[in-house]
Amino acid sequence: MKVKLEKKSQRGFFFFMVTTILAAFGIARNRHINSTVIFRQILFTGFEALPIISFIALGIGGLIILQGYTLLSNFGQGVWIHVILVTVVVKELSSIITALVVVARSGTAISTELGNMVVNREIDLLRSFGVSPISYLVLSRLIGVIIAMMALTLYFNIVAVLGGWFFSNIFNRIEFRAFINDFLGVLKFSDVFMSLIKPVVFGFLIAIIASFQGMSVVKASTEVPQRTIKAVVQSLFLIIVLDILITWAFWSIA
Amino acid sequence: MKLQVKDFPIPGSDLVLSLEPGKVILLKDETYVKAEALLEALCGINDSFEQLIVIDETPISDFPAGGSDVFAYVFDEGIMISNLTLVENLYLPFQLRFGNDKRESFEQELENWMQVFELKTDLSLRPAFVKAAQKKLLCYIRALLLKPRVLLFDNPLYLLSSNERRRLLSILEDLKRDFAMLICSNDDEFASGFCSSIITIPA
Repeated sequence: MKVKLEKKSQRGFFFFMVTTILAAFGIARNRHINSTVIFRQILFTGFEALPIISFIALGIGGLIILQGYTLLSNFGQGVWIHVILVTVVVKELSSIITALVVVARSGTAISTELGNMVVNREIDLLRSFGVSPISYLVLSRLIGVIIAMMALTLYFNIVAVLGGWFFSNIFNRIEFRAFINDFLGVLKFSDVFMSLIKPVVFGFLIAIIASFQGMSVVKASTEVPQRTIKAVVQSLFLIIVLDILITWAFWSIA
Repeated sequence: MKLQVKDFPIPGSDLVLSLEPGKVILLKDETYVKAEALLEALCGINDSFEQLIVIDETPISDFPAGGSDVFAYVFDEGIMISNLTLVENLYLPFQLRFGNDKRESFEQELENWMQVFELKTDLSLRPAFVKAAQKKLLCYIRALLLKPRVLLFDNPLYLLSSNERRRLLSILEDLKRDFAMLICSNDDEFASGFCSSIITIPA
């Protein structure tokens, strides 16, 4: 019975995702996509997450440069620190850590909000106006989360690199221009491209999973936290799996 | 407007209603289930309602926006979107129905209806900060702003005090001239005098 339910849920998720993607195709003519919902989502997911992202980026960037520089200097290879910075921060950590923060803040918020809207019959209310909940609630949030994820990841990279230079400068004076020139010398177009693709994929995953779980609440408010937990666990699992797949795909092409 | 519901309320018999301005039809249903399900199906929110609904010989599924461009539904609990302000709640369906460039006409009509309902609510508040009865009356205004052909009411007097009930009944009495109304209620206050016909739905 459990297996059957699980299969039904997977079919439901697939159907939900396809419906959302189809709604996205007619985005220009879709009057139910609401710019206010998109703007509020960007504000909550992006702008309000800046302090925590700054703190983590600064710490991660500083620690990687400090540890890496100390280690590599023992072998006279301190110049390779930029390669480590590009590989570890720009290609991997920025998108993963940003995604974790967005799952923790926005994924849970979306799932809870939509779940409560179902319980309070607000979704029924929207449908009674002829408003598509997929376009108005899900697609608008999806767009907001993807834009915010891209902006946050870019911001994470900038803060991590500049923060890395700032921290390493405390212990070992490095000229800023030389640091940035070396960093940009190592940074390839494919690294930047990967760093932009990942937040789009992760943002899509986080928003679609959280929305699906929120909309899957049937009647009782006790279902809301259960669905939120599912949204978090599934998002984390799929983010890691897709991160590996995207990295592997880029690695294969390279 | 002719509304036909096949195999409703019992299999083998059809419910046929003529919904014209001035007509108020009360669906009296002791179980609440069937009448409420019909109202929900008319405005497109009950997917499990299996009976075929036909409006003027056209199945409701063939209407561009389901039944939402013909009917406006006032829920018994006065439901509003909790993360929007009251005015945003009122404007959202209006904007989708009539377009973005009608803000001025919306504000004018809203002001008129607020005077009719004698409401002085601060519309910049979120629904959670307003009394349930006020929310319910604002839901009537939201439905009226959409200028539907038929108003659907589920327990219209629920949540209202005796004063508010009297005031609402006198407003609805005036509205009867311009709108057809289909009401689901077991309230005898409605049955006596206000409705033009009463249909009892068997359990």
